[in-house]
Amino acid sequence: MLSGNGEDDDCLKLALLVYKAGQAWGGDPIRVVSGLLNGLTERAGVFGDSDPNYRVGVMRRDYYYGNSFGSGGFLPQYQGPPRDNQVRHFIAWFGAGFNIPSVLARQALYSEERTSDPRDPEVALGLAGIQMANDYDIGNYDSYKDLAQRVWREICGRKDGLKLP
Amino acid sequence: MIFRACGIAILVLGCMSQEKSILDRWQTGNAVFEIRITEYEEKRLVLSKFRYVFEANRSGSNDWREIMTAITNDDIPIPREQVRFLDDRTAYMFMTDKYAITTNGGDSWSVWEAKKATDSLQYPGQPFIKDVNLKPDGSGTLILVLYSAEKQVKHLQTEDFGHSWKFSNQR
Repeated sequence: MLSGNGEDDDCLKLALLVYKAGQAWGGDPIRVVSGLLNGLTERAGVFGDSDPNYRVGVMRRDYYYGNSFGSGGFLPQYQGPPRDNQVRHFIAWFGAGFNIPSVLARQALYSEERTSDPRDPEVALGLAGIQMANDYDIGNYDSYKDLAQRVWREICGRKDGLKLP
Repeated sequence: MIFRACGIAILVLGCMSQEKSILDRWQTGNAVFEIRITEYEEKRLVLSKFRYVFEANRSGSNDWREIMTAITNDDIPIPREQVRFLDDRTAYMFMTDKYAITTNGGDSWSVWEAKKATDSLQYPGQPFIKDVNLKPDGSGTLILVLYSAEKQVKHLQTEDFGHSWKFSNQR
């Protein structure tokens, strides 16, 4: 199970899921981002919704909801109220930053959160996701490895390297 | 270029329309009045939000009136344990940063919003009511967590059933 094992390691799961998505889609950035959005959020991309039968931890009525994800292991500035699924939130804003211009993704973030204050956990996490999408090298099919390490360092706040399977 | 232009158009459209659909509903009550909570998904451009509408009704009638609305970032269960009856005429409820109380069998409700109460703080963060404990004499305590880079826990006290809350020095 990807979600709901009761351990305090949601951020580790996020980093590993990024890496796994990179492996599963051959490192192709467009397919990697699409796969992450479809698997971990309710959106399929700029257009449409993800398939409820395949996504994980998103909506309670979904088959693979489990106990969803939380904010365990995320840096304190990215932790929201209990039961906030920060895996979903990060991937959604990473996807937005990838699919639309960063300036518009940021405006959408401020609009949806009704604040632009980066001390707000949702704004801070969204901005980090948009920035990482902006930096994502779409010409390099190995860039998912760097992305997974960057999530581990900058979102989870870990100084050691992410140990990959 | 076309891709980006589509993105702009979708952003504008997404900000303008907020499609809502019912996800869940729960109802409770006593001989005098009833309370129901309905959860809606509010689709937005990037992430859906979830709206929990609290309503009250005289038992036996079907005249539901909205008391308060709480919004969450994720699809979480309706917090049934956060709707509490003290007697036939007194009940209180809380969710996210909202608290509501009636002392006259649901005829009128007083709603308290933690966000407004914490506006005077330098940066309150996201306020979240963790728990409320109210006694039949109207005194009680409220634990408020403020989520930001530096999470803070605040304790508040009331002597008037939560119509007003004051920060206390308790840690």
